[in-house]
Amino acid sequence: MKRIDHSVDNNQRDKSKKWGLWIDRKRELSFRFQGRRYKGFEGDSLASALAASGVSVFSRSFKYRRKRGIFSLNAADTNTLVRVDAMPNLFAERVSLREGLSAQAQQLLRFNPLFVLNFLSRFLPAGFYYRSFFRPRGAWMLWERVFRRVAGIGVLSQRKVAHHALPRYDKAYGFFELVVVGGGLAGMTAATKAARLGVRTLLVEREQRLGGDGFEEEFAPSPSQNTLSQKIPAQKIPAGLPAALTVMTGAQASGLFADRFLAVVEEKKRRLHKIRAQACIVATGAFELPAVFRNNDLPGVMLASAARRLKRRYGVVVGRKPVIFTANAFGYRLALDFLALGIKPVVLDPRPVPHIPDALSIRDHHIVCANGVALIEAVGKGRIEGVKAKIAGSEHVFPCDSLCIAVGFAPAAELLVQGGCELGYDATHHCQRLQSLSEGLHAVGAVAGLFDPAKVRHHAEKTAETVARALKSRRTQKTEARNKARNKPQNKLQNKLQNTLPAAALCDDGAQNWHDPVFSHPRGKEFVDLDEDLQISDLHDSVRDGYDSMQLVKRYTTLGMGVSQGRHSNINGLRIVSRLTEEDPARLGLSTVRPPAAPESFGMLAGRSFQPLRLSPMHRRHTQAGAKTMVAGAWLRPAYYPPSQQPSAKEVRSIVEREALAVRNSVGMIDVTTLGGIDVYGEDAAEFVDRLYCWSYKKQLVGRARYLLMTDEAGVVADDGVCCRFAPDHLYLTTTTGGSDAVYRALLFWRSQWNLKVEVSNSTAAFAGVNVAGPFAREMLEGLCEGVDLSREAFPYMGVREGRVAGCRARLLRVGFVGELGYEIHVPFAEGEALWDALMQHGKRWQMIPFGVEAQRLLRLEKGHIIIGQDTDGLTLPHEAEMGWAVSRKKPFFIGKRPIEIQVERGITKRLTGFTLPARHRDDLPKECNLVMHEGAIDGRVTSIAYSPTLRKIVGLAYASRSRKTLDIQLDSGRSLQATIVPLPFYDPEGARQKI
Amino acid sequence: MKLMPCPVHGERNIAEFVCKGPVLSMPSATHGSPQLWARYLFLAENKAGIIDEWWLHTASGMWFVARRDTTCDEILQTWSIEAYRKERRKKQKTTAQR
Repeated sequence: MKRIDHSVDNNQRDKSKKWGLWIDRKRELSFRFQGRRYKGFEGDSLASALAASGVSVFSRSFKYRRKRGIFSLNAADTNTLVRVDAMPNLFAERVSLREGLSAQAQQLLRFNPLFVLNFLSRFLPAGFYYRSFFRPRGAWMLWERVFRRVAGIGVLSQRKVAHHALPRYDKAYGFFELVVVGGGLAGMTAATKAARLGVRTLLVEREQRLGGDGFEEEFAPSPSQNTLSQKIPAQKIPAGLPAALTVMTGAQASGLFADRFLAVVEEKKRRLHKIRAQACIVATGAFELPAVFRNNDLPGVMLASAARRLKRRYGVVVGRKPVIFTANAFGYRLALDFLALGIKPVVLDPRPVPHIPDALSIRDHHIVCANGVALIEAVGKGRIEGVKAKIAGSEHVFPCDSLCIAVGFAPAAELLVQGGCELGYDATHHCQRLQSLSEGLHAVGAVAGLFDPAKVRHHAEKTAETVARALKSRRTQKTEARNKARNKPQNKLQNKLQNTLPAAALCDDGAQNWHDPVFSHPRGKEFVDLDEDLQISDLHDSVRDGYDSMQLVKRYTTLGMGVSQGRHSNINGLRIVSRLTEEDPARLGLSTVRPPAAPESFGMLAGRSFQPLRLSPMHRRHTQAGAKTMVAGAWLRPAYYPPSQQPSAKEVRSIVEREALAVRNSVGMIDVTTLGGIDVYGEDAAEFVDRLYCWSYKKQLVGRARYLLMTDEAGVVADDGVCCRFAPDHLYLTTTTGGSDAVYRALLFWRSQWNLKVEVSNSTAAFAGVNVAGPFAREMLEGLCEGVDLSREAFPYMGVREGRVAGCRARLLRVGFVGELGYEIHVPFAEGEALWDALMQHGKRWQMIPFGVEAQRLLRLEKGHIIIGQDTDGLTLPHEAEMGWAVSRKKPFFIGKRPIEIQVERGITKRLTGFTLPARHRDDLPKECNLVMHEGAIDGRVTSIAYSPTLRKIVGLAYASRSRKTLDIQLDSGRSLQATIVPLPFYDPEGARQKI
Repeated sequence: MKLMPCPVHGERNIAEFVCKGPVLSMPSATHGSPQLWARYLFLAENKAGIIDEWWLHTASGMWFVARRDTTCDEILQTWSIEAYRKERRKKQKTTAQR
């Protein structure tokens, strides 16, 4: 391959026939490939610059390690995958050349020892993987080691990169009335037309420049009125566009999801655009299909469209002695391209009789042109040197340095199919054709089956007009809907299903697809799928083994599973299978198309995510105190407060125990901001809570708190908390940290179902909370409270008060989750830090320390209090968790009442049981979730376990079926441990300490 | 991403919504038989066709009803609770009259 001479270029009088539209010959760039230095031009891609420098081998194939070069030049095959810097698997045709670029092939190019597989291919048939799973036994173990080394394309760099040096990937959102995908002739025409009609339009093009393949001046002799198209060759993004048009180049639309939600990937800017369109015109064009014959993968064999792209865009001519194998006008046009450069190609046409217009087009040039040609093989070592073909029964050899194939197209309809449009096989024209469009989706250009530029323009403009009209009526519809009263039902705004597909008769422009470009050879190596190195015999094997539908063939042979996703292989695969099974190709169908339509980098998928963490207002104080944090629901909470940076597991245990002991012996405090808080107001507030929770609340006194237990409709324990009655018509409910959203939603739902006078407000984010607990809690708080009498008589256990603590307006709840005298103080969120500081300062005299979630868990376990979600699961009934006392039997109704009744009547078979173990088992503590066994069968599981420093033994909770004296706990090691069952709670059974 | 035509907020991304399940009436909490309750709780009809479902717009905390065709996952119509009740009453009346 060679760059077309400047002089030749200048000789072209007709400007439109200028070669190398994309490159700037005045600006030379140097770059490296495999360590060697090469030169290219500004505007070149890596592939074109290498081709111009005479490099024909870019990679080795996936399975047999055969040499591979440019084939489609359309970022749709593995042949041109290279590594640039540390980034593997980049299409060389998508890598813009820059000064000093250094690229590497992904495998050994010159001598690849694994090329031996090429000669062993007979022993590595398709389905080899599958079979080695089964026979002989154990073979997979052996093969796996080999496969793991050999399989795959490209290697990820495992070099550690500092976090700040990592590339940042980002996301953006866009909203348009119309998105046009594909900036070729059809796309540009439709986009400008729509924008002129006032539709807010986005045009997405995956190449760096607009223009596409169909846009060639020679196709359109009369100069277009379309200013956009005229300006394409001159500059990247044309000036003078209608204001309503936005153009995005270098952006791949890789997914089309429900209601026209598009994923558009801008790899260069490392940005993923999520775009909502009200209508979408897809103009993604068509993929050229290869022919299948022996050695059709030799470097130098390529699709005619690749040769044309090289020449038009980059001014690279693929050879001095080309052969064109073609059955359509595109191949003949390529021949004319060669002739314009003074190169005489050989044209081989499989059609038995000359196609008149095609034959006429090259009549005057006196070149070799044969009809009724059947290819036998391409010959050559390392690259193509000749083509062997059968013409009228006799074999001929045509020496050549390149072979261009033009035997047909397949619509690039991935996006449309993802969007629900139907693609079928048109048996008369031997091609795939769109059968129907889904709501709001349209297709123009080659993807809709139109290739003739005049027809394409006309159809694109008509489609744009239809879409613009529909969008306009939608706009009026929307305004009307907005003006309607609120309680009127809302209909989905309809994007009327408008079929804008061109009439089938229009598409019938001279049978572009040759029906049978498959030439099998007794010695094989006719590749159906270049990505996966699949030969015709592999498909034979698949069908012979009974995997004879396309879905099964795909899975058995991996046909179409490579990078090209079957773009080049599916149709030929279909033809072969249909011939083998004598089944109509239209009936065989093709495998499903799923996003992404083109490869995406991992960074794009990982990118920046939106997972906000909630922090309490005291969080700064926790980190300052060196707290180790843990995730709890949407929150980050302090787990414990280690004195050193990296405590060992043993140290952590002693820190947690020290924190717990401080609460038992003096006083400690914990940040409980994360607990949910819901205010319920209204005349029927108590009635409402009464219907939602298991216990009874109607007669609850003002100034008192009551335990809350919520079950779902099936009677399963869903959440717990405390109900505080501040006024007859004001109740304040707390929820668990993780449950606040679900509880709030349930409250809203049932409020909407019952006609009660009640308002519900989620005040989780309105309050910060601190629980001060320990025997000295009262003494300590007395000096800080205003307007609240903390004395035992005035503020008893399970009382609630409002007042001021350290100057902050506060709700005080005297509850005992940790089993000591304790006060939960809820203050406005913004005052949380001030409260924390005041308490810390004031508590010094009592050696008060903050304690974390770990210590709290230990303390509550000593008290036998359950944690919803840890000691219960998605099936636990209140009675199983020993919470039957909190279920009212007198109430006529609460959510879950009847299912609980029914199941209690049937008998509760498992119960939450407390057990203890001697302290000596501390070092191999059974784990939460270790099984409880009974007579060799699973009986239950351990839900909570910890060493209690107060009781100096191990305490835990477990589900078990019958009341026995001991529990048989099975450890991870398989050993079993006998635990003693004891009544709950472990600590302070009379509850005297929380009532002092 | 799908769009949900919220009866108050218009078309919004479906990620803003939570579905509770089909509109069903709860059996009696005092007399409902175990069979009736089991059917209500666990034996979802899973109908292929048009169903009415409870949906919540999480950002505003509003529950409403959406009518959806499960065969093509198309949302046909949505109502605020009041409008839905009104429609139901109207329907009951007309069937009663017949």
